[in-house]
Amino acid sequence: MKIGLIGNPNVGKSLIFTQLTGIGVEISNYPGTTVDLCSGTICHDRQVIDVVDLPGIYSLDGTGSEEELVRETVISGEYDVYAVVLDATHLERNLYLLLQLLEFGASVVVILNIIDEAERAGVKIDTDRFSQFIGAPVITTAASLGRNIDQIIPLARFHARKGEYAVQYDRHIEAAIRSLERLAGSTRAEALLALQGIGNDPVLMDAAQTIVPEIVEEHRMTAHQLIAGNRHHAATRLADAVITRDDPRMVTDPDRYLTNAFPGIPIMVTILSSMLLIVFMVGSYLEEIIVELFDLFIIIPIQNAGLNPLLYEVLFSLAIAIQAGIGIAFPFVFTFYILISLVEDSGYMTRIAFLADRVMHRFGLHGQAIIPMVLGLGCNVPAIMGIRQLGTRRERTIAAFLITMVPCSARTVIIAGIVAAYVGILAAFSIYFFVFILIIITGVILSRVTPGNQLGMVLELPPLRVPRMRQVMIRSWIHIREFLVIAMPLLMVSSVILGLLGFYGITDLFQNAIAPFMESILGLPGFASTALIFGILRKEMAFETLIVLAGTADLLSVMTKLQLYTFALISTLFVPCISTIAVLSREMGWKTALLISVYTLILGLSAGALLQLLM
Amino acid sequence: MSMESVEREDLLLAVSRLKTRTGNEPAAPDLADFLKRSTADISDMLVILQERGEVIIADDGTVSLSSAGESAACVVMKKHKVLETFFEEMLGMDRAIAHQQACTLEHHASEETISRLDDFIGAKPSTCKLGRFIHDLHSCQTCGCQMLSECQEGDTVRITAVKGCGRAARLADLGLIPGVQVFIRRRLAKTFLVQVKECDIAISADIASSVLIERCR
Repeated sequence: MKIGLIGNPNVGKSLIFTQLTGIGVEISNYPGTTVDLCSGTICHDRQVIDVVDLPGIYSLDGTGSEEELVRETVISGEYDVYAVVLDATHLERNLYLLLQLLEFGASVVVILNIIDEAERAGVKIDTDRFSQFIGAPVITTAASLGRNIDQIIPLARFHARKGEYAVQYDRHIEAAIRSLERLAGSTRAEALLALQGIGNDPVLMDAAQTIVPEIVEEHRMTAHQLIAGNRHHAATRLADAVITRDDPRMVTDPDRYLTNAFPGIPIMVTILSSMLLIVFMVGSYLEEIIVELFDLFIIIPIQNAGLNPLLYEVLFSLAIAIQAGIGIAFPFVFTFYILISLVEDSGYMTRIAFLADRVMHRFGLHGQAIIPMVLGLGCNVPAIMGIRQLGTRRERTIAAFLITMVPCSARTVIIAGIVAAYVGILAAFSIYFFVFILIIITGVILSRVTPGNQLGMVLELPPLRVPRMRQVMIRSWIHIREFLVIAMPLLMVSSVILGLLGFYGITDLFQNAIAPFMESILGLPGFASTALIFGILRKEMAFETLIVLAGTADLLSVMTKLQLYTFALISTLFVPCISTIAVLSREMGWKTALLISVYTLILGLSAGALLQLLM
Repeated sequence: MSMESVEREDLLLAVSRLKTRTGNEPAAPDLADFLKRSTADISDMLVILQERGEVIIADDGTVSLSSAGESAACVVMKKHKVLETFFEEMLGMDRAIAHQQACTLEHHASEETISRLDDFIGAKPSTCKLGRFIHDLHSCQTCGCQMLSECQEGDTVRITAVKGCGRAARLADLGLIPGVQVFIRRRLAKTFLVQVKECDIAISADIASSVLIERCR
């Protein structure tokens, strides 16, 4: 038996899911999409039950990839029962999705979650009446307290019903539905979708396209607006029939502070910069331990094994790739993602989007685009995958450029390892500052030159809630998984290639050709240029290579502070790592990937040259 | 000489129908008879259709549809049938009356409305305009209709219309539809935080200016 948890975003669906399934959650991409699905298996009375946490959606009529996915499962009958999670504090809006689901004739049970908060706010819901109206069972739960969660599975197993609640549509829509039923033999739900331009059956779609203009002409509204309006109206009537309200107790509203320019923006800046600082400190500390352990148990044994030189080169390159990957993945990327997941899970991320909306408009983006950009501070790869959420090609192009410039963890390693360690912590932060300024300038220019148009932001700000540890860990894992499965393998391959290039002397040839330029324009010693070139393929390698080539860990004895600073600035700015380039070309096409690489290369080199000129 | 698309569709249908009815290819006088037009008019139109490659006029004056003409006639026929059903369902008319109505409406249903529908739904976002829609609302503008983007923090307003492009579908799903009352919780520069159905929704300036409202007193 398969149960699908369905509901709006932020209704506590995932929390219910983790409480139902306990450990052993499996996160996977739905085949052919990039939508993450959490699934788990439970044993109830010796019956195996699969539970899947479907992505949070507002509607089954949408064209977003998540809405399409959920709609497909509903149409194909993939789940035996849908457990519809509704937020009892926002019942009216949540009923919209339930009414849609009932139209599809899916077997449902209704879970009225967050009932504790609703009670506190003086909202009473008559569940018996509710259940009679929709013809399906209803229970109340409070997932944050674990209340009634154990009743969900028995209810879904034995009492799920194909509910019914007839939404009265406008007479034109009703006539259109009947016409389509007659002409194309479609169901009511299919006809409604077809009127909104969704469907595959050519006969049905043709017929719907002929009728829709008549309806639009009559109402001066799109068919979707008309249908949505009727459904919302039905939801309001149903909500009024089952809800009684006492006087709500006054509650303090943190948004009074968080969404105002003051103190909202200082709070946001404080939160984000203290996050960076924590990642900086925890990351550097842990990295040192991990790298040392690796050296001791893997790198040194390989060096001493007396292998054949070619085999040694391959093994050694692989080992240092894994060492660097893990040295960065766990200390920096993971720390960052745990912190950011806390911010996401609490609902604060949407406040950041709200506050940033205006500034992001200057870049031709909107508030929602700040989310992947902040994620880019961990690793650019998942961040670039996150830009699919943005509406138009123009928005995605601009976001891809800017995200690539966001200093990721690997660049944090360079900044922490070189600048903070040898030059000073303020100098380290000044690099972030410069990069930040360059991102702003790039954004402003891109918004002028990028063709296409932009959609704005429509984003729900859910009530702020205390994050749950398990949720946070699952969310962190979703983020870091992309780093591990996409970035890491590429790192390993490119490390081996790099090793082989060095082995056959190609790196030296390249270095000799380019060293005079590096020395005269950037003022960097010859060996630093090799380290920079290594950085093209692997950012964090730039630092390691620099130490190896300098022949000493005391970099100050071979390079000046200015040279170190220049080196870090250039490697932070120039050419994204190979994994980022790969993801960029997959998401945006190779032309954009190339353009971004060339742009950042020029940017990095000019920043270095400028520094050299000025100092 | 130009030719209205209504006439073209009628003529194509007539050729096809007469062929099915009599089994012979019709000539211009037969078509004129069928459409209750003068033979001269019909001949002129047939020449244009021939130039377009939709009909073939044989040496003996009989007319047949080319394959392009046949598929065009087929499209018109299909549309006709759908609209007939729709009007029948909607008005509860008997078949004959529905048939007449569909006859006069079928042609107008396409180009003009479809291009407007594109504006409306935002099928071509680059051409997304308020267009005729705002025209209709012009009278409303003079009596206090505003865009959401002109509202201030603390206002309570009622939505009167939402421009049908870009994010309109998402707005509708979240309950931002004509007739709904909205409270402006926060206005930060040009970004709005509105409360609708007890939920807080952040809306960018560009979207706020596609929502028309009237003030509630």
